[in-house]
Amino acid sequence: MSDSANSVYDWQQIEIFTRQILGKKAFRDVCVFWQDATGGVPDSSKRPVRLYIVNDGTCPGPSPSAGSSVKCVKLCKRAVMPDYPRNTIIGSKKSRITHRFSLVLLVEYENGEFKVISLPRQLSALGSFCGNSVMAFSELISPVTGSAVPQRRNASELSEKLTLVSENNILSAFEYVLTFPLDTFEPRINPIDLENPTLQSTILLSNLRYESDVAEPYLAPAGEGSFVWTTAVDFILYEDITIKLGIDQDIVVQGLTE
Amino acid sequence: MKGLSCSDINTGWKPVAHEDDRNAPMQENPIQDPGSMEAKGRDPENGFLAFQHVQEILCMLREIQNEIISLKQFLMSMGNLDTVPNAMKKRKLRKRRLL
Repeated sequence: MSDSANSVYDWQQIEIFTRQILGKKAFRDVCVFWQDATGGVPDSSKRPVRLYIVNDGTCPGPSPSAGSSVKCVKLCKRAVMPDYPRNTIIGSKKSRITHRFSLVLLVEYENGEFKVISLPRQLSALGSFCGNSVMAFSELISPVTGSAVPQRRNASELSEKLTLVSENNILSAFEYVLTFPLDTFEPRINPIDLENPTLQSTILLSNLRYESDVAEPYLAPAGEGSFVWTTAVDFILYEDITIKLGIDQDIVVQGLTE
Repeated sequence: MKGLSCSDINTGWKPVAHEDDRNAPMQENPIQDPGSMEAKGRDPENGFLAFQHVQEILCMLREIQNEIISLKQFLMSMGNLDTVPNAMKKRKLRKRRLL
């Protein structure tokens, strides 16, 4: 670069548009798919969701055949619903992340057969085996009302909830909601900045991992006095959730453009 | 624990939704919130809307003022009407005394 180009007199006013990060928070090893202890008394740790996966080759009846039990379950895909996860500021004190997803599981049976299960679309309450699409039962759905049984957890100002979302009477997604105080952002966010019309957020989901354990055979009620043989499988899902809040900024500098 | 060979999911920057409606009235009523008034003043479109709002208020005030003036005039005329019969009564009384 020549001396004349380096001269201060050649500098010009340059306006730069950028996004200023107001605060960031990373939640590590968040369990987004769990089940509360039965009886409504939550214990200190989250329990895996118990899935009663229908055995291969069994049909519901008063004395059904056992069929072939589940050998192992693998997570093929976790599909995130469009426009999710999303962030909501509640007043000036709390922030909420809402995350909707569905799961695609690959099930291997003892007889060597494989099946693909889509949850929660093919999930049903224990005692209601309605239609051939049902592939698994869960206590996340009430056998009495047929609606979702929300799983809740409150610990040190963090509030978590897992429920199911239905669209047109079809279970379409699991919904995980995490509510936390705004002062957990690092650095702390000035309440005035929350009124900024350019306030935006970005959420990063990373490091998704799961645990699946085949537990035991289970003769599940299928309604109207019939039963169906299933295999109880414990399934739990973890991931890291990082959220950033930012605002638009115009910065004016003195310098040279290339 | 098994990891899943899927890429990270990044939503990108999105506007933040505000759930609590405590902020909404403050934005709707700029008189109560000088900060939002300043913010609106910076936006030319919002400034024009605020100007229109002030114009409407001024028109309403002018109408009210005109009504008050007309009401005053009416009351004055009513007062004059009342005073005339009183005067007449007084005059009549005087006449009676004289008689």
